[in-house]
Amino acid sequence: MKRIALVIALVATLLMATTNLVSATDITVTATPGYISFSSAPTDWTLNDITGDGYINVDTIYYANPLGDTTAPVGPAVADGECQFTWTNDSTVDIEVYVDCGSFTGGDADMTNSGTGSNGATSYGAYSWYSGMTYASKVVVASSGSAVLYTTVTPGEDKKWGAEIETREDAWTGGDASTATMTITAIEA
Amino acid sequence: MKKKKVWIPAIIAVIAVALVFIFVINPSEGSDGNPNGSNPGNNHDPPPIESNWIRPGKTFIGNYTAGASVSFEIEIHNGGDNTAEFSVAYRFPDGVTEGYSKPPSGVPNWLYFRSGDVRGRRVIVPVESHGTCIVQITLRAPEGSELPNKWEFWIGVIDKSQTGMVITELATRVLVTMQ
Repeated sequence: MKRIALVIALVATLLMATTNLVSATDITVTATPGYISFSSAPTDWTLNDITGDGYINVDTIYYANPLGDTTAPVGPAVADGECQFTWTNDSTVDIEVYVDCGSFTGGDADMTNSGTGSNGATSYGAYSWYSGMTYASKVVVASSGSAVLYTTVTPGEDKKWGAEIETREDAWTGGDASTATMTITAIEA
Repeated sequence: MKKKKVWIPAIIAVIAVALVFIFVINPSEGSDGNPNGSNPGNNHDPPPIESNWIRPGKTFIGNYTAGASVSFEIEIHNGGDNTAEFSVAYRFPDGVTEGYSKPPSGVPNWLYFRSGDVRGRRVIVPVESHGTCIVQITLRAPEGSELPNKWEFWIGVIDKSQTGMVITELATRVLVTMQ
């Protein structure tokens, strides 16, 4: 009887061990075979410095538009010539594009991103758009979690795009410039 | 004494069967050395040398359960002419794939980077000009964590040598399906 009990205990122990291993090794990890290679140029954008003098006012909309820093795309569709930036998809896969922008900090023109597209007392509002898009459908640029700007950039496709920022309502605290980072994110569609 | 000789081979046979089951039928390590048998998608044609790129674009983790560890990899290529640092970090998704939920708030604390210079919730990896590196990341949600049936998070990769206001982030989706 002792021997039988010993064998049963041994078998039970081994079964428990194998059961645990099965639950751990049942996890699967697979991946898509393509790669993501995506770029946007130019990388510089100083508000009111495309055709202007680089000095900015409060409560004013500045556009990344080669035709003028305070010139909105005419619409209804955005034209190539109204877009300052060009993205290039060198990936082997379709790409979704998102644009986020953080706070302006480090100077006297600090502003947070309202996340709504509209400015506030100390917050700015921002939108992005791309060539061919109905300008009225421009996408709100938030500090994170912005809606998708473009859902399917095919491999090898170039596209012009732009953005606009409406500066805060309250007066600046001084004359030193503040800076922000706008991030264009490329992810497999 | 004769009975003992009968039991000893029986016990050895049970152990042998169990060992075969553990190591042959359910291998714990894939052919690529990943402890969970991952397929990081490295069998594609060589991508360009002179452009930054990452792969894979999507990683699928299936049959996941809270408390378990699972590892996956991201390959990063520096297409620049100089060595550059790349930031690799958890990224709350701007948007998720249809059918998947946004990730639980604890995910940043459940990721472990296994290479590079770990700084908080991100890792900085230097990649030499036209070179490629692999960052291994392990997900381990605490046992008992309440997780959606299907959820998604991103890993964002940023070339820290970028200058100017507008920078590009390359991101990969990690799509998790629970057991």
